[in-house]
Order: sequence, then structure tokens, then C-alpha cells
Amino acid sequence: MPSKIEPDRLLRELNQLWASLGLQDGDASSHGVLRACSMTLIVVTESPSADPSLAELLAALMRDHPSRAVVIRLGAAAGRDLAATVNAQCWKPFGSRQQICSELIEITAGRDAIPDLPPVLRGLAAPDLPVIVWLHQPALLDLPPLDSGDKLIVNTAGVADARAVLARLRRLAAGSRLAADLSWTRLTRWRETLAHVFAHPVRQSRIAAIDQVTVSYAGQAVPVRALYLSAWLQSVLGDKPNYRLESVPAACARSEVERVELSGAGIHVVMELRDEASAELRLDGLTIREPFAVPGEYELLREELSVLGRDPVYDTVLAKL
Amino acid sequence: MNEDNPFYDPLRFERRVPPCIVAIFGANGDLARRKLLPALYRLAFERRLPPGFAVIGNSRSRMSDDDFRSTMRDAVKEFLEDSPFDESRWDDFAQGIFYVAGDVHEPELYPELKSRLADVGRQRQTGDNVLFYLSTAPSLYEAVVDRLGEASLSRGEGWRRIVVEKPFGHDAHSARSLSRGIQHAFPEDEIYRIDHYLGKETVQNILAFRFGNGIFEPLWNRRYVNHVQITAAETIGVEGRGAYYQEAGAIRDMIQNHLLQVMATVAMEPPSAFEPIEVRDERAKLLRAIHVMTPAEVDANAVAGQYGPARIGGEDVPGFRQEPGVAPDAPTDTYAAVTLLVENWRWAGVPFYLRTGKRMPKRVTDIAIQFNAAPHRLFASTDGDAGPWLRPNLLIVRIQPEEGISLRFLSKQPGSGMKLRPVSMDFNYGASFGARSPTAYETLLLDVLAGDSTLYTRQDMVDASWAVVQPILDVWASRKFDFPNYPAGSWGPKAADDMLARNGHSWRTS
Repeated sequence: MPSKIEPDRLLRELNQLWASLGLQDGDASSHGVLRACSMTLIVVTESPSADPSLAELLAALMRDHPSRAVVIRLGAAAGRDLAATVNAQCWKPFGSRQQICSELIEITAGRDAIPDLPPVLRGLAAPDLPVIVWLHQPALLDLPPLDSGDKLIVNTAGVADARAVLARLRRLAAGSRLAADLSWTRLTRWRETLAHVFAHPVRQSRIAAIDQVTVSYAGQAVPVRALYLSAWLQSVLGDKPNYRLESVPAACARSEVERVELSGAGIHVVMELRDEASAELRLDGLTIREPFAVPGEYELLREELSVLGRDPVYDTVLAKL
Repeated sequence: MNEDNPFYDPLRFERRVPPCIVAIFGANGDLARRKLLPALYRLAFERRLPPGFAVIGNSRSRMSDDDFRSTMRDAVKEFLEDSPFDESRWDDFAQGIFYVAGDVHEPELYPELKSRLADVGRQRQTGDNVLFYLSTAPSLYEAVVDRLGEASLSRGEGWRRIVVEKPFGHDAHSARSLSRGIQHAFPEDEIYRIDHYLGKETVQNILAFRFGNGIFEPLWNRRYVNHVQITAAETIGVEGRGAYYQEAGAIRDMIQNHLLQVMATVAMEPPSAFEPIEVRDERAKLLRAIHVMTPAEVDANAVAGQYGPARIGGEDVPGFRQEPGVAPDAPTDTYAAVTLLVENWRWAGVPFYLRTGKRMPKRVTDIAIQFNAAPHRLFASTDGDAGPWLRPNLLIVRIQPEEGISLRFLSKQPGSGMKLRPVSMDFNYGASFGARSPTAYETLLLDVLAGDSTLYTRQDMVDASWAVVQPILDVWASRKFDFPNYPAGSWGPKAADDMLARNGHSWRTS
């Protein structure tokens, strides 16, 4: 008989935890603890519970997006066992008299328990607030889909068959749930810098002259990120330019897209990654070094959790692939 | 503009600004070093500034571009708030910093500045967009603006804007004269009168709170609001600004600009759109609706104070008249409190109490909206006489030192019986959103570079504010006050307490 978890019991434990936190906080003049929650964040991961990096990431995210976090740790073995613990992550902002706490529910589950999870998650979700599901590792895309949440965040970095993954995401995005991919989020800075380059009225007036677009990437297989960037440029510039994807040596370990070049009569824009922290812009004779830190998981999640509705630009790009 | 840029993605991108040069007059002064350059550096750090952005500093001191960069680097390192200094980012940012030495009275400065703007504009591809920032003494404003106009620097192929720091005049007459001078060179919609209070997150959040939620606005009127208190208290004295301050005084320094703008934000009608014209129209309408006191009304509705010496925390603190640079008989108000009434349907009869002072017990700026008590005191028999603690429903908008909003309401005390006690529901910016909030100057600089004047003051607002304050100043000028009338470290003169007591109210102790 597989073990099971009861949402009601976990919520009762959470309430008891809050009451005890309030008592721990001090004397009668204490300002107590502030229970902050703006969403339920469900993280599906294969990381072992001893791995501190996920806990640190969630603790950091709680400051930007105070949430009820539900971490589902999938074991390596088959089986339908489920177990859960509740916890709270608390911090006292510098200079504040009040402690801020967010909730953390940790579920360990056998690989075959995934179909049992949605009803549990529905019971555990903070009421009247969005529910976001994040598949921590790309490999989790191969598991049966977890039918929960308003938005699913995946990470396609490094997947072997980019086209197949994109097809799955397209199917998902066509339904009622929102889909997001951290590979797309990683491109925000590239896209934003290019947008800024074309904020200049002279360059803006020459957009129609662009007839060659080259996106350069590291590695042998075309990464999802390069496909996204090329498709986005196509959605902006239309079908007139010639679009090319080319493989080049990597400038830094975490990059996949290395360089983008747009050229045509009277316009030549190159944006190229220099290292982990900077990019170089070459704009018709002007060379500028731009701070360009490659974002980590924290920055990516922080941005993605801020987008609670549909992302029409991403939807357009996904539809083009 | 972003809307014309097909690459722009409003959902994801931080607002950035078009290519431009910021030309700062008084670039070696306190404001530039403490606020402007740190704010611009921080915007560059956050990648909000465009490629090719440039700063040209001007002051009388002779120095090279590199000397100026080095001076500004030291200033940014010293005054940067809540954020690290990154040498490599500074080096990138400093490539766009230049300097032109010269006295703003000397006509030869301006052709040189013009030539430098053209050179830097070409080098940095700034599209001839220039923001002039008057960070000089106010007495120099008209000279700079006149010369900019004469040298045709106020017009160009790109946009030309000018930022003016307060004070916007010393009285109603001088404010109008200054305005005419600036408008002679720059059109009104390119003049940005900065009031850094309006750039604070919480002040902006008043708009979100009032107009983004459906539950507060129905209560935001004379039927439910008993009175409003706006407090801006400082623990410090005049800190070396004695000579300036004794000419200005608390009502000119704080109430005429900051507190009236805050009051306008709290009390204005909902704008039809969140656009600069609509928001500023509503602020201006509210300021014009404030009752202008007759001389006979001033004594009952305005209180002047000046701090005297005291011993605070084991330290002797001088009185205002003992501060360096202050005359021993200076009649300056270091404290001012006023009762204002708004003559419109929403606020008729609701007192707005504004107070500001130096050497108060606590540094605090907040807005307290006191709602009316429940119409029937149902729990009177079990409450006993809990006095002010059972005054229900106080909404406090905290502007500094911690930004946030608190709502106080009554709740049953656990246990048998029905005893009520006040509890506070807090929203704290720093705690609820861990991300760093931009400083007011970062917000306002980004706005002006983007051409967004929503949080800037328009001339008709300045005129309306002076119309409110001028009759008080006129009456006070004819009075001989018995100063000092409050000791340093106290909440101000007794007359200010009496002013509220006449209406059955009392100041919060913040």
C-alpha cells in the first residue's frame, strides 16, 4: 500500500507552524511575523533534498515573489510513494522589526506517483492566487505531464532535440495553460539591447533596409535559444531578409547564442558576447561595451514569475517555429 | 519613442531612454555629486541608459574630462545608495562623461558648450537630444536660461529639455518671474520642475493604491474620512545650510512644494488616463481647490515655530539661532503647521493638517488618513475608556524612512468577553518586494529622459501652491514671534496642538 499525503493535514501543520513562529518572535510589543503570499510556486525537481542550491534559489525568489512553495522531489526509482513535510522560510529585512515568512511544502514522490499529484496540489494551492509550475530540469519534459497550474515554466537549455521540444511547447501553449521557457527568458537582454539600438531614429528609419540576419551559436546542434532569436527577428523584420544560423566557438561557458549581425544598405549592427559579463556592440562605426551578465536561474525565474498573463511575443515566436 | 520601435517588448523590457546628452550646470556641486551622478550611474548599471549616452558637466573649476571623471567616480562611490560600485561598469559609463569649465554668467561659455555638445553628440550618436539640468544656486537659473536661449541651445534637431530644481521662486511674484524667464527660452512642455518627493515609490504607490483597487476609492471622501495628517519631520537641524535656510524657512522649504504636492496626490480626483497631462491636470485642479486663507484666518490655521536649544541623548543641541550662519534674532520658521480645507464636493469640511519641522524627535514622513468612527459604539460597555486606541481605521502611507502602507483596524482580543484592540496590517515595500527600489532621482531622471512629465510639477501647480502659502507668509512677515517656541527634540510648539484641538483632533506621534 503506497504512502499518501493529505492536503488538509499539511495545511493544519502549516497553520500550527505560523502560530509557533508568531510566539517565537518575542514579547508583547513584538511586530510578529508577516505571512506573505502572492502565488503558489510548484517546483518539480530531480535534485536530492540535500542539494542546497534549490533551497537557496527559492529563498531568494521569495523576496521578490512571496509564495507558497511546493517542491516535488521525484525519486529515481519507480513507485507511487508520497511523503510531505511543511516548513517556513523566514527573514528579517535589514532595519525592519518584522519577520517575513513564506511557506514551503516539500513532497517526495516516486516516479509513478505523478498522476496522483494534481488533486493533492489543488488542495495545497493558496486560494485565489496564481499557480505556477516550474520543471527544474530539462529531462522532466520527458515525464508524463503534470496536469496542474495556470502556467508551466520549462527549461529547454541543452535539450538534444530542440524541434521536438518546441512542438510540445506549441501544443501546450495552444491550450488554456500558459507556457514559458527559460531559454526564451535568457534572450530578454539580447532582445532588449537590440531594441535599444533601434530606438535611435536614424537606425529605426533604416530597419526596412536590413537584408541579412545572422545568428551565431555555440556547439554543433542548433540550440533552442538560437531558434527563438532568429524567429523573433523574423517576426520583427518580416520575410525580406535572408536569415542564417551558424555555429561558432563559445565565448563563455554558459552561453548558447554568441552573436547576432544585422546588415543592409546604410546599416550594420553587430552584437557579440565578449565574456561572462559583457557584450560588444558595433553600430555603424561606434563600438560600445555593454554590461551583459549571463543571467542565472534566479534572474530568469524572477522575470518569468512577473509575467502572469499571456506573453504575446513569445506566442508569436513559438508559432513560427 | 518605444511605441514606434518594432523591437520593443513592453511586457519584458525595462523602460530605457533614447540616446541623449545630459548637460549639468553646477556639476561640481553637492546635488550633482550626491544625487545626480549616483542616480545616472545606477541607471547605467541597470542598463537603463542607451548605448552612447553622455554627460557633460559644467562648473567654474578648471579641470579636464579625466579630472571630472575622477571626481565623479569618488562621489558615486561615496554616495551610491543600496548598491555596489562596480569598477568595470564605471569605466564603461565614464567613457561618456565630459566636462566644460566656465562661469555661467560669461557669454563665451555657451559657444564652447555648443561646440562640445556637437562633438560629443557625433561621437556618441546622441541624435542631438539634450537635457539641461540646473543644479546651480537658484539665483543663477535665469542667467543660464537666458544665455541658453541667446546661444540657440534651447532648440535643436532633437529634443531639448530643462530640469529646474526647487525652490521655484521665493514668493508668488518671483515664481512667476522665473517661470516667464524659462518659458522665454523653452516651451512649457519641455520644462521639468523637479520635486523629488513625487519620485518616491510610496508617493507613486498612492496612485496605484487609490486607482488600481476598487475598495478604497469609495471611502476616499468627506463621508468616511475624518481628517488627514501629512507629516514631514526631520531630526537634524540646518546642517551648515543656516544662511540659506534662514531666508527660506519651513513653509517655503517643505510645504509650498513637497507637502502640497503630496496632498494633491492624496486628494486629487481620478484622472481619465495615466498620462502626464491628465494626471497633472487633476493635481493642479486640487491645488486650485484649496481654500486660500484671508489674513484674518491665518492665525487660527497656521502655526510657525522655531527650535531652541536642548539636551538630547546626552548631547547639547544648539537652537536655530545658535547655528552657524544664522542671525541671533532670525525670525525664521523651522517648524510650520497648517490646516487646509479643500473646496470641492469630495473634501468639503475635511481638514488636511500639514506639518513639517526640524529637530523633531524622529525622522519620519507619512500621510495618515483617519476614517470616521463606526456610527454606533456597539462595544462601549466592555471596551472601557481605551481613548485614542479605539479610534478605528487609520490608513498610514509611510514615505520615509521605511516606505509602506499600514491599515489599523479593531479586532477582538482573544479570550472571553468582547474587548477590542487595534491591530495593524502592514505592507512594507522593502519586505514585501525584496528588490531594491529606485531612488527618487533615478525615477525622475529616467522619466525626464523618456519625456514623461507625470511626476514633474507644472507652472500652474507652482502658481496654485504659492497662492495657498503666500497669505500665510504675508501675515507672518508682519508678526513678531516669540521664538524659540519649541525645544529641539520635541514635536513642535503647543500652538500646533491647540490648532488641532479646536477641531477635536490631535497630532499623531508618528
